[in-house]
Amino acid sequence: MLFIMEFLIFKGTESGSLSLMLLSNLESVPGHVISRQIDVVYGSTVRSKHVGRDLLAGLKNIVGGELTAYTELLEESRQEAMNRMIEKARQMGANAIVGIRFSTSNIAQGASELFVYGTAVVVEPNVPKLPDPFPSAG
Amino acid sequence: MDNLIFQFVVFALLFSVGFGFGRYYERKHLKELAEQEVRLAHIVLDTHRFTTSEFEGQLISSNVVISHDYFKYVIANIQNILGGRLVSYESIVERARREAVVRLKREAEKIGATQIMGLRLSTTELGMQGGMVEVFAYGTAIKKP
Repeated sequence: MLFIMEFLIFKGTESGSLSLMLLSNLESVPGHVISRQIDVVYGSTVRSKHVGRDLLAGLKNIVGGELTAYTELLEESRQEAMNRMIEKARQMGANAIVGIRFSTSNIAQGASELFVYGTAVVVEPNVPKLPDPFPSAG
Repeated sequence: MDNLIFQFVVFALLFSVGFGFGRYYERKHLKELAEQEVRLAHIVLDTHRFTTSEFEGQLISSNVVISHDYFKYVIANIQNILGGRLVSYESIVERARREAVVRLKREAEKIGATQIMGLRLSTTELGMQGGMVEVFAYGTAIKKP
């Protein structure tokens, strides 16, 4: 029992480490300095809607308003594309991805591709320089 | 002839349902947006790429899909023949964009950020005949301690 729990805790930290990747769509990560640039990484996923959702969307097309089912579908698809990108960056030994851009395209009827790309880099925390405690020592 | 009358009745029904519900939803949405925008006005937005900050930041994103109603669809088809501004569709895109920005600000509020840097908006058209528009917004939220 304890063994299983230990395993679960280990698993938890494993998936938790995914969020340790620093992400930014700026040219740098705020609060950090880029020390090494590695490569461009990207992730993509192609998704299609299913019939039930499409039927509901057809009804919504008459009355108007937000399509919550589609909003959720696209959100989780983008998350998957991003997870793939993060996994690639991790394999290259990066700890941050900067300059992230998203793009979406309709490649076929009812199917869309969600694409995300960025630059994998190694960053260090921007530690403010402490004042010299002995200014007149030299 | 009967068939023609039936088709006309269906069309008139959809047209009026679209008009009624579409107007109701649009007014409700615009009212909600105005309230939310006032409430979240303290979160500062910018679109600069090269700005940076000494505080911690993280990527946040939000999206929204908004559909047209049958009334707008018919009006847009008529306007399409004449050309010019499609006022009925302009309001859909505008509502979607405002909603996406409001949601992005709400995401920032959730993690305790007060500023969003490098905002990007992208718009995609979904669906076969169009009319469904997706707006995706993303940016870097800055957490000031």
